Amino acid sequence: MLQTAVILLLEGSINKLLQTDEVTCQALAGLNGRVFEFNISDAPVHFYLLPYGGGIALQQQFDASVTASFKGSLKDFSQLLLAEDKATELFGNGVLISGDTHQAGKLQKIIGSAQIDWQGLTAAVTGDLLAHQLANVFNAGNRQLAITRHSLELNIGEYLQEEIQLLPARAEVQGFVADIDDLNQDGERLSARLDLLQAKIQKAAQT
Amino acid sequence: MSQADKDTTDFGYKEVPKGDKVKHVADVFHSVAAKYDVMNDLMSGGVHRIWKKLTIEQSGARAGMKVLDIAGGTGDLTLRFSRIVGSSGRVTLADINDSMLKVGRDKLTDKGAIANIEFVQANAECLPFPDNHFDIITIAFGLRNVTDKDAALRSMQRVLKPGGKLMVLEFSKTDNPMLSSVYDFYSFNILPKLGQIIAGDGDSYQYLAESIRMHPDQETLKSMMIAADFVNCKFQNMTGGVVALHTGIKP
Repeated sequence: MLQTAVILLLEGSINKLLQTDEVTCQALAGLNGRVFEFNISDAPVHFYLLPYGGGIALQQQFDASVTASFKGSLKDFSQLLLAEDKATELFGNGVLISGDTHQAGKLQKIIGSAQIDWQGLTAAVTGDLLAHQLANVFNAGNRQLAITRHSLELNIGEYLQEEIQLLPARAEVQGFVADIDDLNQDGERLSARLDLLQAKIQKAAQT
Repeated sequence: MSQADKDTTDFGYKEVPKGDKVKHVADVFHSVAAKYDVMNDLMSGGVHRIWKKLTIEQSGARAGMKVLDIAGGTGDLTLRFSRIVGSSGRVTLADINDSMLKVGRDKLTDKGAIANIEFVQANAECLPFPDNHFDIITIAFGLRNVTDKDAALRSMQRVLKPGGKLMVLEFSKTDNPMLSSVYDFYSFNILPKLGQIIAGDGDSYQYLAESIRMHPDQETLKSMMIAADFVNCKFQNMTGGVVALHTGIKP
């Protein structure tokens, strides 16, 4: 009962958000009748998502075959949620998809292009003027946060590589790795030639 | 003496002529139709949504199925079923009461759910559908208002496809004495007053409390379903038995 209550709350909240994005709602209608299974491997979370025109239904139980299944760790799914390029995160980083991958791709595309009107939702509570100002403050904060993060990454890298010389420069590491790859390939080629030579010697000895 | 052999039937705690129960029940629902959803949320603290959600999940409904929602009222189950069965499926909302049907139709139209739903005014005892027609039949909080429950179960069995599932979600009996006394106090002292304040009709909610007490308990309803030729009959108690979900399959 408790899990069902949580699912109901989650479903209601997601649908409220989706209703601010008419394009996404219309796109979801195209997936009506499909069922997507989500399985989070390192948490007891397993549910089914049923899209329809105007939102989604979430179920804990579905007694028939599903269109596609998504399986991954909590980290994989959270990266997917936070990623700017969701296609890369979904298909390249740990989320395993089985079943009809074409329909799974459609769902991914819809989720990826969803644009929730947070300002509109805030405006319903606070009024237009305050919501607009809050959105400006939030956007400015976000921009500043991105600049700070980028600057911090550069400074830490420079400190570790140049000041205390704990780490080599990226180009140096990349060169070293490329040298190892070349050496590895040369070793494999040499091994193959030796095998060929040995085979020829054995053949000559038999005749 | 079986229900079918008697000339009178229960209307809450009262015995009324069989022919009159339909009219009495109709009056109750004409009176409360407009405030039905608000009252449901208030009376159950929103828990009725969880009971219905569990029913949907256990129905096994999928795209393309035909579903009959008897006593569908304001369409809570119908709305969810219509989203699951999609454009290739069909949901029929049947209710004997035209006021409830109108409220349900308006509510579903407002939510944009019209394409795969039809509305039928029908008596559960003699359903106006062909034999072996539906994949799933649900009746949520409706069976206790039916005059001849055995006839209704037989009628549902007839219109269900072989292998189809009947689901009866209904108030039932708690086996916890503490919960029972709290539930009784709530039902007979608070519920009618809530009904009076919100829906302007305390008597209808007095009937609701009485009709729940007069409704067959879990085991009796299960045996009635077996008698109507359903197999694999079972029930699942919810909220300590305040509500039970009975399921049966047409062989």
